[in-house]
Amino acid sequence: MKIMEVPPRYPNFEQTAIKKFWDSLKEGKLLATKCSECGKTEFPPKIVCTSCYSDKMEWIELPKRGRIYSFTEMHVVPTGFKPPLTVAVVELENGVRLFSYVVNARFEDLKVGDEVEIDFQEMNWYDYKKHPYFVFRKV
Amino acid sequence: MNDVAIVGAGTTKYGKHLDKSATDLAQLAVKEAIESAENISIDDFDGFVLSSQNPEILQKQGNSVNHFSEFLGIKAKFATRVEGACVSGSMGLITGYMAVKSGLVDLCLVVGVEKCYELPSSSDIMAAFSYVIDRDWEAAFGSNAPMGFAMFATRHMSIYGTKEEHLAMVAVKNRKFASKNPKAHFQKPITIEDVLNSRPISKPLKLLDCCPVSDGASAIILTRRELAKNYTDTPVYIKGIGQFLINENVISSISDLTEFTALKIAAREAYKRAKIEPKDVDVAEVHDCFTIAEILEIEALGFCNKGEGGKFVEEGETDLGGKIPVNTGGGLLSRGHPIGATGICQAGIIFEQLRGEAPKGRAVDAEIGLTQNLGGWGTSQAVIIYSR
Repeated sequence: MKIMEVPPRYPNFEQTAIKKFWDSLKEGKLLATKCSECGKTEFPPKIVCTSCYSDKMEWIELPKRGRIYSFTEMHVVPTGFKPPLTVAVVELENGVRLFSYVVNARFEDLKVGDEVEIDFQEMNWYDYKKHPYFVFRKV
Repeated sequence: MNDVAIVGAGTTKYGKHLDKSATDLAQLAVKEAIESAENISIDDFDGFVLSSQNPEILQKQGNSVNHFSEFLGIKAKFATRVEGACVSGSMGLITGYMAVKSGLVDLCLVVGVEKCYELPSSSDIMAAFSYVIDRDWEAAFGSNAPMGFAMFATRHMSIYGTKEEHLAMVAVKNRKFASKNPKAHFQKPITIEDVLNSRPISKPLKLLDCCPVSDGASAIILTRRELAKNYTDTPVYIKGIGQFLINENVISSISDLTEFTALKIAAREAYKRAKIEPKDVDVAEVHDCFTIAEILEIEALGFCNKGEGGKFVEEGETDLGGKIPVNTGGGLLSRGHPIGATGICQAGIIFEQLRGEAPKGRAVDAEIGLTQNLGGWGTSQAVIIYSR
């Protein structure tokens, strides 16, 4: 028996206020929230704007291309993950930044500014179920 | 408002303490702090602040301020526990400072403790600490502390030309200081080649670019200026504090991965309150959880220009005889990092320096000292300035 691992959490993807975000991933769409009063785009999505505190948030689809802002390759990871794992912060064409795996490149293949596109794949989430999520693919 | 003085400090050795519990460690640190002052017994404290990051997960123990009071034998009219990941220690000091400054208490014990080596392996400990990372948007990827700081390193190296050798120089210098600190987790000197040849952890960071997880406890005794001389002839005064928290907890939310923006603000506040400038600081203990962090910190604290941290280290400016000796206690890299204790241990090292008690090989003739402690990806920062 494993004594300690990152324990499962059970986010209720069917009932969460940002259910639409998770549902859209299944359709190959990546969404963020945008405040319809002050115009601020939020990622991770939020139900209230962190800038003007309006609750009039609308969903927008994010661009599918961006550039590497920074990156690393993890070799030591918690119990339950298999290294090495290449991850990056990517800045999309509209300035929104995202964090995920780079699935087709190692550290040595990457540099800041490299172009990537958004792809979607099934990922093990910490409820130990597969969920669709977005990943990066170097162009 | 009262001026606040430090009149005592104590710390355990940092490392693996397989034979001691979290409360054992706390007792030993408090014993040393009490014995470093005069005329203090445990009954004299009327304030108690506990800084501990993770007892709920490491020890499966909640209600920690109550739990520790049993083993420390402390009664207090103000008691609280603070937690803010790796900056918990400085948050504890600032909480104690506010309690004394406001007149709520006269004599405040601030204790930081973390006991990690109850879990069987380092990946188990890493899993326990991955709780501090956003569970939905980061930890689900297997992320952990080296990941975020490696992101800063990659970007700083790309924009400013900082080299892996610069990072290694930080680790070598701090180990040299630790070799003169019998309480450090690691004391055996290392070379730049040792750092460069150590195994990758989160590229470009290697094993010797990373601080260890440690067991340990540290304690500080605070009182107001008028009472300080009852307890020591050589108190050290807290001249100013600065804290800043910025709402960029997820790595992709950080607006600039080449600097600690929150630290620039916290430092400005602390310098203003202490009525000093960066050049007035004689010795500093900074939060080198990873080598890149020390480079970002000496830049954000204003010891050198932005982007020039690597060069500043290379030129020996952070070593003895340089413009500003940094991490003369060995830093987190070598002294170790029992999370909740670190900020309090830093204060103890500056206390020792300003009282002229630091041993040869790491002693600085200092009138003004500074500690800097961070939480998260450097997005929660605390700076404390001290004087003789």
